[in-house]
Amino acid sequence: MLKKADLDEVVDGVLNSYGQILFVDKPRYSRWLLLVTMFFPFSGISGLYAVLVSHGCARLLGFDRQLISSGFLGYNALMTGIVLGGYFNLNAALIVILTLASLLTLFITLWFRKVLYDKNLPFLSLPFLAAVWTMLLSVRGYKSLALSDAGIYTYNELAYWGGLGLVRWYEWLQQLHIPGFWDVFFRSMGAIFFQYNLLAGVIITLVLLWHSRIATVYAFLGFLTGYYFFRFVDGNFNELHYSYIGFNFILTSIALGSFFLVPGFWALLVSFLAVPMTAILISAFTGLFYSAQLPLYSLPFNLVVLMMIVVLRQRWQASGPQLVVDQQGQPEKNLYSFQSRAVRFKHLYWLPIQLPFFGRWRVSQGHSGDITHQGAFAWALDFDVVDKHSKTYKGEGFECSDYYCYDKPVLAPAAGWVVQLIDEIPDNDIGQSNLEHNWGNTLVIKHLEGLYSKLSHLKAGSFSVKLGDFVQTGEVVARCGSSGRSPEPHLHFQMQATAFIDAPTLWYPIAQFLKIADQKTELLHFTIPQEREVVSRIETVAIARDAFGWQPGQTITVMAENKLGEIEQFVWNAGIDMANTRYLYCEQSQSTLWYIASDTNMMCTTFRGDTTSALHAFFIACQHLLLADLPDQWRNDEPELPQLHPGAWLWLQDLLAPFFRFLHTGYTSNSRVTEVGVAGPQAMEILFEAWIRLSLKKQEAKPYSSLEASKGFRFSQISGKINIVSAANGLPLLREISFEKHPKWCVLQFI
Amino acid sequence: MKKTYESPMITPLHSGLMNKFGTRRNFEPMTHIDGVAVKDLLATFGSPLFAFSERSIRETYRDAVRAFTTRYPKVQFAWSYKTNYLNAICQVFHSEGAWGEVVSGMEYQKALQNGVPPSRIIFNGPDKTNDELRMAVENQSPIHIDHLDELYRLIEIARALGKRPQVAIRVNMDTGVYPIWDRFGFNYENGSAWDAINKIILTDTLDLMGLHCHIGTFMLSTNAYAIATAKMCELARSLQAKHGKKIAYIDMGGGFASKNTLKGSYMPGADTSPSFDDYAEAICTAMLNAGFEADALPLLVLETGRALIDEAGYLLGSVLANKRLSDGRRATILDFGVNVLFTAFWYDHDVYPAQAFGAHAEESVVYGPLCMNIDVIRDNVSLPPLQAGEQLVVCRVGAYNITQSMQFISMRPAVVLIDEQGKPHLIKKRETLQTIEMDEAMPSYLMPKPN
Repeated sequence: MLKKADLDEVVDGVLNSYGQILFVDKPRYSRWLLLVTMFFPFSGISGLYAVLVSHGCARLLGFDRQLISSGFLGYNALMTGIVLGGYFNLNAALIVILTLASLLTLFITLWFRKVLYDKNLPFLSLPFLAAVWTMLLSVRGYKSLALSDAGIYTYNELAYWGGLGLVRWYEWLQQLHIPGFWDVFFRSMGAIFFQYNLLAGVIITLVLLWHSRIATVYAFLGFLTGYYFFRFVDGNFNELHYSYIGFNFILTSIALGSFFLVPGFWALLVSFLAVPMTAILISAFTGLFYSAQLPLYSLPFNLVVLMMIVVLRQRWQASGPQLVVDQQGQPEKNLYSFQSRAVRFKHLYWLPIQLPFFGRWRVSQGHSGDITHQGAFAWALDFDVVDKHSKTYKGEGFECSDYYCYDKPVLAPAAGWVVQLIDEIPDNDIGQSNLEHNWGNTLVIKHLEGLYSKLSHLKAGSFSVKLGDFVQTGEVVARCGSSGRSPEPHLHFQMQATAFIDAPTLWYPIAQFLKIADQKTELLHFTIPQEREVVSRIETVAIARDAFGWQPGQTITVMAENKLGEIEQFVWNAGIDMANTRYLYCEQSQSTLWYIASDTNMMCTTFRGDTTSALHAFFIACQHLLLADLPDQWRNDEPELPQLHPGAWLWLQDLLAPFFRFLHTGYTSNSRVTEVGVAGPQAMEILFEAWIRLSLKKQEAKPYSSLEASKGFRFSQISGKINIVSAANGLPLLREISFEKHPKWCVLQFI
Repeated sequence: MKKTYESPMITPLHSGLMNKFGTRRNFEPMTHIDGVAVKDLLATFGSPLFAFSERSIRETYRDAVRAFTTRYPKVQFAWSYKTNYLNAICQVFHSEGAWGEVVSGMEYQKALQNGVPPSRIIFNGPDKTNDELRMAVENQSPIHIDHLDELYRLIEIARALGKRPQVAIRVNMDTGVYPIWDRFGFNYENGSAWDAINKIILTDTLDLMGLHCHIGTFMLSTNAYAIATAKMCELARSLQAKHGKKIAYIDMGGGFASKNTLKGSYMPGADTSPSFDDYAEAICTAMLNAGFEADALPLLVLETGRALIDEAGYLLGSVLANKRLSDGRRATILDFGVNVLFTAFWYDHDVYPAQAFGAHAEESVVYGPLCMNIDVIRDNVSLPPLQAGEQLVVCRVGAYNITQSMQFISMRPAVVLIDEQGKPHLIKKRETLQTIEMDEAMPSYLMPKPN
């Protein structure tokens, strides 16, 4: 008994099997591909049968149903089915053979998949090649199979299936004629689905265009490259005109240029190199395979693509062509998210290191400072505390205790283990240095393998941790002193790669801090504080931190009101996935949103699903929020272009996107505490705005800035306000997101 | 320098009285305050005159904030209105980020008028009327409960209004400094504090947000604060253990000494009073060591008044006359008395002549102008001879004098604020007869008859 949802899953699985061949992941596009295979109904039906058999088997064996419905397990069988159906006439033996061939293809698929996925490589159409060649070689001896004359006496076949009308239609089809290059191109497109006519090629091209403009551009450029390479070397054009083997160029170019690599100049360069290689393989193998009476099919494409991926994977540093890490199934999505992530997540690489003190301290000696930060110790920071007149002490300054920084708490810059601790070196008299124990009382904390922080010149006997302790970020570990090479009290702070006291410094930025100058406070992130700057940590606003601190398993109920005044209730489930990333999932809209929430930031990273859903509205609103009371700071970001509903403009941008962007995205948010009580901040208001900007010039957005109008025409704006209010009557802290501008929603209320 | 004429005087020669400080204090005349000439100030605004230095207020405040915030991450100062509630002064503090701490309905209204959001006005003190409590509840201001009678009234008010006011209780305790200030709040050692806490938690009408104490005034011992803080934290932590209630803030009150010298002190206050750093060290260390979770540290509220404003206030005046007393001591009569310099009862205020003087000084008594025997500004101070009409400056008079001065015999002086650019602004006019009689009423039969 199949329920509707089950049936949908089966249908999706079948359609996706057609789509996979062309790297298309949308069933509604793929049905056109199914139609194209039915141009020769018998082979088309054989293909469909092969998919159903392999999917049925996979399901019976208990394979992941999502995997089946994605079409990954079916597309190789589909191709085997189409090929065999084209060779033989229908009889009982063929059905048996076809069934076995489908299963063989499925098993080879599963086998290759295991072997290649373990190496993080795609199996492409290798299972099909292995299965179809095996079958073609083996069935030669089976007399019960009747060779089809469909390919030879086409008209008889057509008349048999569809009468005179079909014959006429076929004649018309064959007579369609366009200039040589285009003819070969479209027929090669058709050859991807074993259809060697113009109409099939045009339909397939249109499906590809519909799915991805970028892939279509690459398909064309790839073919162009291969075609002219043949002309250039004066190759055998029969190879291109017979069986339209040039579809290998197209697939190679789509796969490398737009699918497995991030589209762009580098990807184009890779496909410019790979396509002629494919051509060489075609020429090399055609003769060889001819002797075995086997068609070459997509072997050159498979070999070249796998080779290039293996080559690019081995690099130590991925400069130049970039492999797609998070495959989203569409080159546009891959490209836009790559471009957006390059801006948005470039700092996720760093482990956040915070300033190791409370309140405002001054950088008394910065990187490469003149006094001691030289050579191996260049990337260290010294801190002290100064008053308004930049004096470090009160009174005469003859005693350590006259110095503002002396005996002040020193904090762990990040969580970690105490791996080195030197105590009991007395503080020096002012002006004296203890060169025998250069670092004085010192603490080394291990944060990660190869990442340690060192705090030096601490006060003897002030340690509140001991060797081997685990400390949390911001935990008080000791007091500032003046031991070691320290003529006056100060704190020496450095990051290093090893646990040794004398280890050289490591260049490492401070995750987030405030730079305080007269009247102006500036928020900096992943930056090195400069000498003479007065800096401080950012204070966490507990209600804002807790507002986004959902626990996995928690449900969030949202009353969403749209512009028509209709109210819809959604339930979002908070969870945590295998990559340890938090997400919200909305079952009603089948959408998922991934986010990163820390003490001071909330950042929505990825969205999959319905872009008209309330969850998507939340995704845009919370692109990047500062959870701190910084009314003068605007947090800027660049969301992914397709998420902002660019409309028809997007098609044009897609075509040019690998090389040129004229649509830019922008986002800015501003957080301020609006109510403070004895229990700390009680209410917070976050303004946000997202937009698409039409401009020929790219504007490098500073991560933080005071609000400034960017140039160019803005459209597709989404703006509004997030309200966070301290808990009352069981209401959540995140109370409301109201939209001033949004194509669909007015307000999301959390209950 | 121009030589100054001083009339000759005869001073007895004291031998054998040398001490390590020498026989006289060498001091300079105070001719200018923040670059403004005392002479000009008095000429413009009349004598006597209170002057406040905005620069000094802001610097002192930032000193205090730095001392605490470099030791503890969550600190909030609340300006103690009673110390000086001249609106302009309050606004300077509020602009620096201070909340308001008030002890009466009148001060509460003042804080509201000064634009302090009600949730940042801490309502302290033993005298809160029902109407005032109601207003504070409606405004959601934190209310610090002083006694059980107030607690009961507040519970009734909260129930009647259907609100859940944010409250703290004031706790008093033995900090090793005597006498104990046990007249305010609930005692820690004898269990009264627990009694009040239990009543608040069990009636479940008030939201117990914080604990408040104020261990004394002009506290010269920082150790008392360390003890008090430790006891408060202990109370907060056992409250959490017993009732599962996390305390959002601990208000350590004020009582920090200024640099004034208390009467009877052997050493001057400038040398003996602890600094903000000393107080902060005692309080913050105790807070950090109390064992609160690192991400749930309670807010530390401080209500220090005196130490923030005393230094910034000056009283400027003129000499009315000189005379010899019966025992031959020199007496100088000034144009301001203890009615405007109330703190003269507690402190040996530093008094500086405002113009150049010669090398000689004489032990003098400094009197105010009042026709009252108690009007003594200084019992005994070494001053150069001053002529009638000459001017002088009394330092560190910022705290309590404005709020405690009384209208008596003469008019209260004007007050100016010297801004950071050195420009004086009148912030309170000199009183006139009209000010004094403004609220008087005359029964019609006593009306003076027109001639």
